[in-house]
Amino acid sequence: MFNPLILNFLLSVAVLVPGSSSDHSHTHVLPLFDDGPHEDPRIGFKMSTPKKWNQVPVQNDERWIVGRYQSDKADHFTDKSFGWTFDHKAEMTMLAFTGESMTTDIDVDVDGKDGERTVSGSFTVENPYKDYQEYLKKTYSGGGWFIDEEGTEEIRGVKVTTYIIKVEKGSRVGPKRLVTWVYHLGHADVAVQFECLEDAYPKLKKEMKARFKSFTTIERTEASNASSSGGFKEIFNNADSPEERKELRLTIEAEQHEKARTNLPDEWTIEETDRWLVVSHTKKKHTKQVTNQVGRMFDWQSKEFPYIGPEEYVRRPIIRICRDTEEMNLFLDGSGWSFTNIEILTCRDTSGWSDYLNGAINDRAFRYWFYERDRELYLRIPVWLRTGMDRMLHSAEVKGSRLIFKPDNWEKTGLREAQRDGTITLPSQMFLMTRDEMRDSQTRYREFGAFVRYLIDGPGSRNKLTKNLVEDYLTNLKAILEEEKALEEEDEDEDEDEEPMTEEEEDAAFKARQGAWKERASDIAQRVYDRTFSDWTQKDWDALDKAYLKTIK
Amino acid sequence: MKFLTPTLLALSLGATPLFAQDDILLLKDGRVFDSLDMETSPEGVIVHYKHGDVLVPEALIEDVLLVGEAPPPYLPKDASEEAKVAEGLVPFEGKWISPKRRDQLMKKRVAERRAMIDEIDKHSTWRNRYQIKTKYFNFEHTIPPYVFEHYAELMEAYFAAFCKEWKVKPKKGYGLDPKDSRLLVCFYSDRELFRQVSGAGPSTLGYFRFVKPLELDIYYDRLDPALTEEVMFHEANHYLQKLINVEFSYPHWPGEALAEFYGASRWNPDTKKIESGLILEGRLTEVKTDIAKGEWMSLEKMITERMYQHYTWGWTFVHFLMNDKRYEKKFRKFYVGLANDKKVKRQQMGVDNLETVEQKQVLEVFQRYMGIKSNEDLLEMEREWHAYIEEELHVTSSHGLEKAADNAMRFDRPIRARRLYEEAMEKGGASALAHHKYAKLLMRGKGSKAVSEADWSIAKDHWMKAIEMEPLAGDFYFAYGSAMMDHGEIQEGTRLMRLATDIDPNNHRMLKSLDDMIDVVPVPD
Repeated sequence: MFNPLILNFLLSVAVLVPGSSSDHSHTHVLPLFDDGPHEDPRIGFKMSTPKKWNQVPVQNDERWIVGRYQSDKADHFTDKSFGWTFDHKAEMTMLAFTGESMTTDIDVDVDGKDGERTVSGSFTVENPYKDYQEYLKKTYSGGGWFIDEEGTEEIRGVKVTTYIIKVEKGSRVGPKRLVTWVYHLGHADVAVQFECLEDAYPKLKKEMKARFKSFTTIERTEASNASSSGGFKEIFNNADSPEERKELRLTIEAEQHEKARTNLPDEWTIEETDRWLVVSHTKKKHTKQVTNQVGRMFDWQSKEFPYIGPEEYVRRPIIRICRDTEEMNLFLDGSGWSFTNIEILTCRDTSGWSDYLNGAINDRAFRYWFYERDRELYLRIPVWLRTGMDRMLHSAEVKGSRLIFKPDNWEKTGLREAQRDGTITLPSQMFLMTRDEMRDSQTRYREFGAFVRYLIDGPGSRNKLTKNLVEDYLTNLKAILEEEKALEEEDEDEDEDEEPMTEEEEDAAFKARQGAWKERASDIAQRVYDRTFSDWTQKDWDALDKAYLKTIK
Repeated sequence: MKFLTPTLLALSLGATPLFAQDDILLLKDGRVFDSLDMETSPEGVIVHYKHGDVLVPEALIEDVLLVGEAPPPYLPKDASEEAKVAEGLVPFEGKWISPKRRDQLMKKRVAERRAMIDEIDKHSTWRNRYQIKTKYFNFEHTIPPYVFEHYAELMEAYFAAFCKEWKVKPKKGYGLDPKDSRLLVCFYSDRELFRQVSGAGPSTLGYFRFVKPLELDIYYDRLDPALTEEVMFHEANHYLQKLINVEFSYPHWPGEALAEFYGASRWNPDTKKIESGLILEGRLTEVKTDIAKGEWMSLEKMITERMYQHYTWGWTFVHFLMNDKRYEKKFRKFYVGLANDKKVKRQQMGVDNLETVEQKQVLEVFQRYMGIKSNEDLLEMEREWHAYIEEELHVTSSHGLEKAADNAMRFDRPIRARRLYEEAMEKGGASALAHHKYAKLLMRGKGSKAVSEADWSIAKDHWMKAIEMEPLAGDFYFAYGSAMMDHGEIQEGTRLMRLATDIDPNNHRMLKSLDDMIDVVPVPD
């Protein structure tokens, strides 16, 4: 079990690093086989895998991992300093380094002399890793590591470099060992890597060696897949109208579904409906519970927010349900990051975290639906409504065919404390609060949740004064964002060179830039507030505060 | 290890080479260049690359091994030497010996150097790291010994000085070996290796593991040795703070801030003493940037909340307290009191039997020890502190001005950066990197205007200066060559870019850029 304290036993000296970067990548998609050896007709190899180890699918846009297996038994490590015991299931990962770059076909609308025209082309991302060691250096996040032994072998005419890598410092689950053989096939290097706890290595050593030695080359009968989208289509291809966006989204949806289907281990089930594609490694009952929950969320959103992007196509997501958290974490641990992510990922609870996992499904389903309908609107929702909505959804539960929104004990306790201490936040104070102000109070996040629930599902949704408040608020926000966009376009046309030419001008510009986004967020909240509550009197505000406070028990 | 003049090591091998290896160059900053083609010159050595020759001045060279170059004939300085030469003798290491004996000794010396270089190369991987015991530390490192020795001496002196000043001493039972009181220090040869082996995050410069077994991890930055020392002293200070009470872990403030205060230390070779509490100009620059934004730090907020600014604002506050006679003794007592005062409310950390004081509780203890009785007293101290920053803390050294310029660039303030780089140059002692960065900045142009001829001319001078100071930094040639190409000097520009990849053949970024440019512009090979 993860304990955040373990990350905090180092006293470090740090530098402020503004921004961060991530490697962009995409995938090879491989057919996987039911029983017997792992066979890869794209790279041209096959090998046996340990008995009773589970095959774990690789992410849709993974580009280097071509196969993955996980032991069904956990090994344990007890940290003497902390007294905690950690579980780790041994893993086997196959990686291929072909040196190929990733290419995506794109169509971009550009302004030409005779107006707008579409240019077709391709977008290429160079292969960032020249070999296994470089891949490890740039991607390994399981702790500090070093190569402890390096050697050579030859298996059926294939030259092999062998590595024993120790993971010691900063490993969250205890000292580990990576044992890797890199097979040099000529057209590609295939790295087969076992990862296990150091203490588990002696008992796994023979098994690993047998698998390494089973490696055989086979004829390459399928082309490699270095041209799948990696999400770049979504970023670069212009689609201005809902119809164009629907066309593009349908293409991406079909691509992603096909990848998920093709890349599915045999033990998993697959089911496609007109609402989603479900791939699952849990029992039918649990799968049904998850899809039911996502379905209820989508239904509720469609009913509650029909005015948000009604003409937009919401792609059928891939609902992926892993067997347990270990499998889910291994699935996530790769280099399959993509601009396109149409998955709702979850797993069966095996560690007493069911409330968290249920809440996470609600959060993801809500954000997924909202993004598809109006991403810009979602990202600009003022803090009270955005965090309040998150909080309210996180504790929502499915009961039969309905979603029930009820507070959990943490929220109830927090509100009671705030009321007792006289620190409770009145609704009339919430609408203009900034994120910093939210953080000033330990209970405010919970108070926002309670108030949003009051407005959307509680007495406020039936009160004459507030029953349309959320709709009015979001509609006004949308209108203001569109006005802002029109103004920005005008400004762009008139954009003259106003760069500072003296240090004084530069200092002034620098100072003005600070906190600009916060000011912008506050400005938006103020404008929505002015527009939404322009006809409210003090009597209305008093009535709202009073009605809301009455609901706190 | 002493510098050996190139001529001393030059060996005439005649038609039968005694060694298969090519020439080897060791620089004082720890870099080792193997398999080079070199020759000696009066100023140092000339390295012959495919796309040009590079002069490496003697001042940068730790040692050099030239295989195959014939020693020049010896020119006698007086009559007695003429007589020795007439006898067929040659001078070698202060003695007159036969050429045959000299060649035998030369062969021996070459073998010794080759063995030393092979040893350095072997120990450059973590699995073969050096393991050295000193009085206070168990060092594990991958740094060439002649570079490492300096840092080991500094650490010993620093440790001894702090122990004396704060009346602490090392304790057994906190390392891997319970009978050993030495601290394990893992010292990596560069940042990449540090991050890989220690598992540190991208913004971490070093760390101290404060639970058993204690350990300190730092790296050597050849381009910024001052930073290497700062981080080393900072992290070592965490260990020293722990020795005040090994069952206590200091809260972020004042723990990090005091570590920063002692991080700014310098070894004075004349007095043989460590001088602490100097100005951390890099951190000060961050504070000054916050002030420029209009963001002054509240004292109450800083003491009660955990924040990154404990390294910056927190350090300035400790600097203020330690340099004010009214506060220094009280602050020291407060510091020890946090760990040892029975009246202080502490809480278990749930690890290693360690206790700490919650950050929000620190203010109460601080006020008690400092005699602060009201909010107004606290605000008065805050005003004094802010005034101290404005009036007493200044970036004055060339190194500090460079850091301030770098910081200005990070925050997109090119005009300020330009002024600060220029001031750093005027001070003298600006680094090669500063010249390179300044030249790159000039190539941005002012605002959206194209680069003026005058700026291009200045930039050229600075790149040449950077190259003169650091002749084996591929990045400098590459940037200079690229700028030349932008200014129509295609042939020389591409030669420099190719030379950059000769010097630094593993730099894939440069190689890729070069390939892209070759696609666009015909590049002479």
